[in-house]
Amino acid sequence: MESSFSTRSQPMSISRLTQQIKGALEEQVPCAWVVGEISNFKRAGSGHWYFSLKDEHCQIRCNMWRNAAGRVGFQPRDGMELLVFGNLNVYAPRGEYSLVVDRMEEVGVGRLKMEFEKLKAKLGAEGLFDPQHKKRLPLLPQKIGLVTSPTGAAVRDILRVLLHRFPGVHVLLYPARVQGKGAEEEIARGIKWLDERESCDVLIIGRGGGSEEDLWCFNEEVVARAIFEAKTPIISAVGHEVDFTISDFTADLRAATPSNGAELVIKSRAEYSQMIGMMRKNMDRSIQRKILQLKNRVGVSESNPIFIRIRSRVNHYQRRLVDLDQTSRRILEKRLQSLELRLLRMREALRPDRLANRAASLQQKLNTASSDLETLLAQHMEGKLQGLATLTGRLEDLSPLKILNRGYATVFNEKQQVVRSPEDVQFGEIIHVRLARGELDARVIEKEEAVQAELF
Amino acid sequence: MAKKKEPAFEEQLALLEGIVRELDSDELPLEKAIESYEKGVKLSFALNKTLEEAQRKIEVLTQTARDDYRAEPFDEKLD
Repeated sequence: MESSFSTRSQPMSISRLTQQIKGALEEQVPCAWVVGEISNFKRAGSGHWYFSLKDEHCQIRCNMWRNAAGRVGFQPRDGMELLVFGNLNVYAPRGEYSLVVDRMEEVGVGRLKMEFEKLKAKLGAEGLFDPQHKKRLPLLPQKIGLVTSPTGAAVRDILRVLLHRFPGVHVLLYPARVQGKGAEEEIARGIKWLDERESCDVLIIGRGGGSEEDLWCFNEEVVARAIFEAKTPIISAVGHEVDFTISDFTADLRAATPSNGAELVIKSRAEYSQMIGMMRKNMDRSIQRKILQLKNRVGVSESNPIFIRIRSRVNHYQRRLVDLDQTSRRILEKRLQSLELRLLRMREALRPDRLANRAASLQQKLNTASSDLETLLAQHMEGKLQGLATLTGRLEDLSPLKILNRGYATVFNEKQQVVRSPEDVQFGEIIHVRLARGELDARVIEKEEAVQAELF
Repeated sequence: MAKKKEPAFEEQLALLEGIVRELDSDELPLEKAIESYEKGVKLSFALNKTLEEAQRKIEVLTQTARDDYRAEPFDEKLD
């Protein structure tokens, strides 16, 4: 067959052929609105989207550049029915044609979305979402259970928030996959395990943001049932603010994000302290108020007329007592004064000066008399002494000693009598002779008759 | 089913709240009021103690058997 483009003898190169194809296609279908089901959706690291659109018979490769993709207001998922606007492109080096999509819209309800609505209606009818089944969260959980990926961003966010608020927190993580096939089974197992075996006070289940497919495990029935049957209160913290999953509806509380879940589960230590502090202040105030009230009541009683009267009477008596005291003092003082006055007068009456004079003159008299007496005494003594001397002289003269001195001796007989005559002694008698100076004993050897002793 | 332990903190706080309400209502005679006040002060100390003595513990469950797990310290690697 002959054509205008090539002949057997002048065949086209592949490039030429491709160019023709490219020109034809891109001319014929410069841009078009196309509808189809999306599949094999991939978001590349660059941000460009690659996917296929198909209907029952055919499919075509598509891609959407990053800028255009950014303007899409939803997350495309396999199975979605989409309406796109784009232009055909032939990629010569690969010999591939594709649709470069510039605009993308959802058409009606995607398959997954339908599943979502169906399950939501079913479980809702069974009462899984009813508010009366929702449990209250503990005020201060002593043990917090987590069901999430150990390597995801969610667990780090949750832990960061928890530890920042309450450094002494106790957390137990059940590691589970949070996307892909079978993730929902792991999540459900984790909820059961923590609920039945680990006595946590609250659970947080969730994951970080992602596509609707990524989050899909939290829309699965097995997870919803596990949440519902758990005795522990559960917070569902899946994806971002705008993502709502069946877990969110079933859980006792929904958190917008994993961090938000951590915030809902525990307050900061300062807040708890403040709560306690406020209660303490409250109590202090109440007790003070009470005491003040009672004080007032006492005060009121004190101002009761009965008390006033009693007090005034007591005052009255007190005053009387003071008066009496003062009066008695005054009287005593007066008496004291008058007595002192009498004393003074008596003293004056005694005229001590006159007494002194009298004393002086008497003293003088006494002195005179004393010396007179001495004189008289001396004279008297003199006289007496003389008398005595005279008598002494006479005595001396009469003294036997004087006589003895003149050579006379006194003789005593054996009968100790004074011998005056020879008759007073016997012959041979021992006689005792007292001389003027000394004594001697002698014997009578001869006697003579008495001689007249008297001379006159 | 593991036994659910009553959170002591919450219980005590509830008691304290009760005492606060009691005192606030002003219907107690003086001795009872002082008694309650003392109890309240003790509770507030105990509660603060709980807050201060809480020990940080971050664990992860590691599978030891098909249906058994054991808690181990979890390396948080927080950035």
